[in-house]
Amino acid sequence: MLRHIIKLIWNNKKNNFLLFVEMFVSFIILCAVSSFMYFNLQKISQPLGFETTDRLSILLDDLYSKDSLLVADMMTQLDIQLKQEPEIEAVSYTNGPFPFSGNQWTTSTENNGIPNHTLTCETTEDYHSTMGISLKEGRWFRKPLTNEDKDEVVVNQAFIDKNLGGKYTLDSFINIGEEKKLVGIVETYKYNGEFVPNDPTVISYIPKTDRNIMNVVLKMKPGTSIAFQEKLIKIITDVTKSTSFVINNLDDERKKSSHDTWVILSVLLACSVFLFINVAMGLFGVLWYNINKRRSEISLRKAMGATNIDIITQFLTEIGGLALLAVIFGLIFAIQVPLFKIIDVDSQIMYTGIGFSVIFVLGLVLVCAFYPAWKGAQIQPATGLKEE
Amino acid sequence: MITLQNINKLYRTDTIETTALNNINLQVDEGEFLSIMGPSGCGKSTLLNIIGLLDEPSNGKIEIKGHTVSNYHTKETAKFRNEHLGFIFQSFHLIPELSVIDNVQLPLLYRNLSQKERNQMASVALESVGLNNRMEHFPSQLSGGQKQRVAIARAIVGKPSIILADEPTGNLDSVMGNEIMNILLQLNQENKTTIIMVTHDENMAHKTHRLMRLYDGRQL
Repeated sequence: MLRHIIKLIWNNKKNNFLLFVEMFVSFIILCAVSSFMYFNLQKISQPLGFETTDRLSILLDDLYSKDSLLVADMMTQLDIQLKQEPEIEAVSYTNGPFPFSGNQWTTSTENNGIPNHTLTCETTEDYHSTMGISLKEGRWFRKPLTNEDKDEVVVNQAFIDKNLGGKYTLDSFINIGEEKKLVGIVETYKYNGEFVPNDPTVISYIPKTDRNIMNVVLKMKPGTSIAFQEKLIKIITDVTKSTSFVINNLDDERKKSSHDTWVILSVLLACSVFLFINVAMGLFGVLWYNINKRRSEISLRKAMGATNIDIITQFLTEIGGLALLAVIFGLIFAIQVPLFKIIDVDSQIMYTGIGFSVIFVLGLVLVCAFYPAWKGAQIQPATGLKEE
Repeated sequence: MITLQNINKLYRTDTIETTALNNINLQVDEGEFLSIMGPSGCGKSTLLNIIGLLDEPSNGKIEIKGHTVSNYHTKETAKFRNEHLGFIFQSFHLIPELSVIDNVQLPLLYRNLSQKERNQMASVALESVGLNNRMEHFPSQLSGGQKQRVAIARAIVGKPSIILADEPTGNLDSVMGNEIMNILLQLNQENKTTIIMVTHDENMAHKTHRLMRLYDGRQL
């Protein structure tokens, strides 16, 4: 029977060609959309690795161009003043790559000829408690008291997996351009937002008096009113003698950082749903027309001994076979992307997207074909045979 | 072999009731060649469809080869048609996308047979109608007479004991019509196949064993 159906599909290739192209194009579009969706869903399913509720961030004016002693004095004063405020529970400092800044500092090392790119952030020793970062293993680095303490780092799990091949020992030294002592591991630290991949990241110490400090993060008492920011502005203005700074609520920053991606995803999803409703309706219409055009053939087959199930199976196999061909043809193209790493996305994500697309396209085609096939099977042979 | 008892067929719409067959009683013996004649619309094809289980009577009883087939369910009907009945139609009803041999194999697809067995049986059937040199041709490449011979091969490929032919020579000229009639007569004589043929052609009808005439759904 299968051979018979393949012959029918092949001998009817002119009529089947447009249907084939429609299914092929739908499959390719779906592969791209589903992989993109899955890529982003996977990213959003990983936690940021820090808290944003009741956290404020203060982006300071450029300190680097100022005298280092002046900066040290100013930052010490600022720290004292901020910690005196009862509304502020904790204060920490970071360099350029601070939460939702969009900044990246990358260090590249080579391991057996394979380049490893690592994001590096520098924070003060109390950053984890201010930001609510929980450690998976080990401890946060300390404010250095000895030379050895100075080299302590905390890394994320992605660093362990990608740069160390999953093997590590706490308190051992790792190479990230220079030797650093690994003291703690966090699961994730996606400081640039939810849709940013959890890339290998190293967090190391920076003193709060350093000229490279760019950002102050504050953990506020829950329920602190927005009016407190007025007082905060006054403190910063008084201490830094500058009004060139920005105070941000990290919850708002978090939403802002994801906003564009959500818009793209929503538009893409809406377009895909619309496209597939059209494809489904088109398929249904074409199949309905095709099956109606073949009423006398259905009647003939029934006269020759075909049951209703034989008729339904034949039509579903015919359209399913055509869809399978379109999907196989599409797979030849789609598979090249993860196979040859044409775009820098984890192959597993692409394979999942492709797998989903195969099931979705075949499922959609069979669902759209079922009703016309079932209606076709209900034709009375005597009626259908009269119609030619 | 075939017994019809009090067969009636009514077509109903909301406003009109049309009687297509009115109390038909018929007995066809094994190996008999019966022709049915009558003016257009008298119910010849309806009667043939009912005998062939392609249509259901409004009431009455049909018995074929000792089976009361009028009580059969759809699946049993399909199986019975496949095993015992062969059909020949005026307009051939060949599937244009399939080659001659694939068209002939059609009834065998609904039996549990291998491709090899199907090919073998179809070749034998085509040989018996003299078309073994046209196996890979498509219906569009054949003449009317050749198409009807393919249809006959398809009707006999499953070795049915009954062949139902609905105006098999209706679309053919007299030469081709005679050719087809001779094949049917040969099938009847050599294989003892029971044949019921609807025809408008008196000459053809007189070549059969018995003639049944219908008029306005009634047996004359």
